[in-house]
Amino acid sequence: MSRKKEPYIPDPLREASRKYISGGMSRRDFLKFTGALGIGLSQLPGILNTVKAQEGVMSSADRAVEAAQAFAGETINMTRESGLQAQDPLFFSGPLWQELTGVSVNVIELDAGPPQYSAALQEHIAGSGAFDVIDTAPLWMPDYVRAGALEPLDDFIAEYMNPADLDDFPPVYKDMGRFEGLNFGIFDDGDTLLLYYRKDLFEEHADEFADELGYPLAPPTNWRQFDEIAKFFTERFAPDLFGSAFGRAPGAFWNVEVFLPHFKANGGIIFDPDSMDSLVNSPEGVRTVSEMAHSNQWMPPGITELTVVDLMPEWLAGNFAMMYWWPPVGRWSAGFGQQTEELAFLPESQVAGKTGYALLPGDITQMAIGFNLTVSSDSRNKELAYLFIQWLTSPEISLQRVTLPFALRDPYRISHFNSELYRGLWDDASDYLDTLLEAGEKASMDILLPGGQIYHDAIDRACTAVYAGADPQSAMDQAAAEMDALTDRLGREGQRSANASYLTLAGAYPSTNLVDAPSNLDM
Amino acid sequence: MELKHDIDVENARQRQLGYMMSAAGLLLFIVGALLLSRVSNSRAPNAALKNISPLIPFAGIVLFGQGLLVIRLKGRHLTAWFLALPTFTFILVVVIVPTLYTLGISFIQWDALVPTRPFIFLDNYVTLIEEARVRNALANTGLIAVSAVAIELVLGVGLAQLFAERFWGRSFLLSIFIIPMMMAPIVVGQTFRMLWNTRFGAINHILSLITGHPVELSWFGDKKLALIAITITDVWQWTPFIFLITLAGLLAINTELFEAAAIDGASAWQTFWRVTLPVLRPVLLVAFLFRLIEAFKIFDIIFITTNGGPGTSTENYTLYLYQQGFQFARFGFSAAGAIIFLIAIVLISTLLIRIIGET
Repeated sequence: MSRKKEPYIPDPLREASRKYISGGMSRRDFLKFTGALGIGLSQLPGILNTVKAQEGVMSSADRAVEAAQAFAGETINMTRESGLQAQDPLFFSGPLWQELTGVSVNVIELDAGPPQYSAALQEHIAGSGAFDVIDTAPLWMPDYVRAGALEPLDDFIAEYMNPADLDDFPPVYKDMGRFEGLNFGIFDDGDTLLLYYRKDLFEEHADEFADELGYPLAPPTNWRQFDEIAKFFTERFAPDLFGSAFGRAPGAFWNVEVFLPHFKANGGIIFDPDSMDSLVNSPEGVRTVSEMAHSNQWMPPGITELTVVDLMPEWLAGNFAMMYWWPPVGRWSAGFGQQTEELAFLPESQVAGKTGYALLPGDITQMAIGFNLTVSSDSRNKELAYLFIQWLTSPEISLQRVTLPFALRDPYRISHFNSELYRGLWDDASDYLDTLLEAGEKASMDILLPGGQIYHDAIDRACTAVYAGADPQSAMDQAAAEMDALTDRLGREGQRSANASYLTLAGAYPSTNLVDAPSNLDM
Repeated sequence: MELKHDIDVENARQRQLGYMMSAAGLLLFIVGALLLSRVSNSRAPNAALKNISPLIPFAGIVLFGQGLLVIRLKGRHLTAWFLALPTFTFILVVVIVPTLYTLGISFIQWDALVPTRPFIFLDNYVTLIEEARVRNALANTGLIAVSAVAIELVLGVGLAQLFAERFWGRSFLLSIFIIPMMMAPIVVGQTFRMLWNTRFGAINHILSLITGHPVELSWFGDKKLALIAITITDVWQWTPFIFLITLAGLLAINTELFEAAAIDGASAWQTFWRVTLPVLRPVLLVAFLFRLIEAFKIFDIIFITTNGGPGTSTENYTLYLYQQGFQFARFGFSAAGAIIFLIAIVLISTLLIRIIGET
């Protein structure tokens, strides 16, 4: 009887609403569709609620909350990189989840990098069950899987998640949580690096540059252009302004994140797929590391001892024409969220409205680190841990999290990139999101194999050795020898099989080519 | 006769206890060894068993040894032994067992990235010896330790000579001079990381003022300069240690020796070489021993300033073992490295202690 009193909803609108609620349609597409039908924004909540009630359709977030309410009173122990990364679960998503489900979240902060990597392994070896949800870089996940530290999520996904949510990712991010055919994590941080450049300086000096170099001043398309642009600015304005600045300090695992996309664009292959011998000492590898070292001369003095964190305040102060960084710098450059207490340590941005976004030469970039949310195999409540992950990464909750000004979670769902909310956060947020989406389609992945962190370490050390004057061939030979020794230790056959899986991923070797492009070594 | 009988009965009981302890130790060793072998070859061993299994054979050995001791000790010795038991237990738990545990896992391929933990006997040690990076780390360790301690000795003794005389403000300056050694090395490392900074660091700034032109030395970006910077940082922190010990030694020297040297017409230099130094020798050797052991273990300053870089140019042995063990979870391998380090330190210390004894 009551059904008859509810508004009539035509079947196409009902179907679109169902898809939108279940995560199968982006907000933008849904608004376009309803707009075409002449439906006003004020009518949409009523329609959506009716469809929810009549069809029993629930979003993944709602399903997670409903299922988790049965666990009210329990606690989820979750690891998180210390500092800004932890602010979201501490002050936003953790309290909200508790309010919705009665389940509390205990955030365990761990130092970034190797300490965070090894903590999960050590707790698993000790069998402590200290962690329920492990925040893990995709780079580390194969090691955790091989060690038996992670729970496969496929059964939980089949039971609780709306399948459309799994398609709401750009190609590179889509399979980040998979290893050897199983889902062990849900991707949760689009940590793809961008080349940030000063639009105002590029415009101001366009004519002068074109007269001198013979081509327009624009984001560089090869490494020779990169160095020429950097040199142009450094020679004119140093020490007040330097043409470029990349974090080059040893031991911070940043050099490898620059090496990999550069190496792949130069035609490099990390491992021979048949023998699994490391090929980083190939001519492409030697060329890459030599080109990287060559670029240092136009960067600030002492660049080889500066980390990316050292450089970021200088970028905001307007001291560089180009810098390569994670997505938060795009937001902070625009001044977004700088008034929050958590970001009080940042200097006021002098580059708001002056920052352009681009990929690296070769139309490539690097998905550097990033994070998957995974469930520990030692957790005493794996189902609850999974439900929390599903809720956190659901399109609607994750959108709120990636727009938190102080959190370091970066957009990663197609619906994030298309979000009108996000696109309206600052003047050129649309350009930022479009470039990030492009990066999500063209980025190179880290070495997502067992031992990936150690392979990265070997390459990183070789880079810093070359900066300090070591012979590039010898340094890369040493790196290759260390990588081969690790491959032998882990077993060549197993590594070959993991590499075969890696090669099928979108970001393993993006189609890019700088092989015949001018090199900065010819300057 | 009765007393002798009682003693005989007591000794018999004691021997019985000793035999029981030894037998139990032997049994524990066999069971532990079997368990260790089983766990090592299992693909999915119980986590708790995996961790405790290397410990059991060694606990067996310890119990076996204790049993033999009880058999041999008699009467008062046994009472003394039981009185020392709390201390012994503490040392056993905190020092001996962890050391034996480390020794135990050094024979196992315990690597978190490898599913099984096979017993590989000396393979970890062989890999260590063959590893070029280890040789480089050892060379860096020796270079930093020897150069830093040598400079600290010279400066420390010089400062102590200065402070052996009374002058205005001496107490105040003494307090200031010993502050560095009271700071946590990690704080020293972080502070000097900023001081050595190429563009903004005070050191390049001062050098610029002195030379009259801009100095932009990349202290941690150049392999030779990085070693120098680390050595100087260590010298800054630990010279006060040598200084303080030497000063204590100097002040304890009988002044009559100096008076006699003066009457004999010895110059200040001759007094220093012929009187002060020979008398101070035992004190200096003790200070040298302490500092050398600590310098071999230097970690925090390198970790925070260069993390071993650029490349491996400042990587020392402890940093290398930390990375392998705690960052990359190669527990067996790093345990073997730690055992070799322990042996080396014990040998060097023994040698120095013997020299001190002879002195």
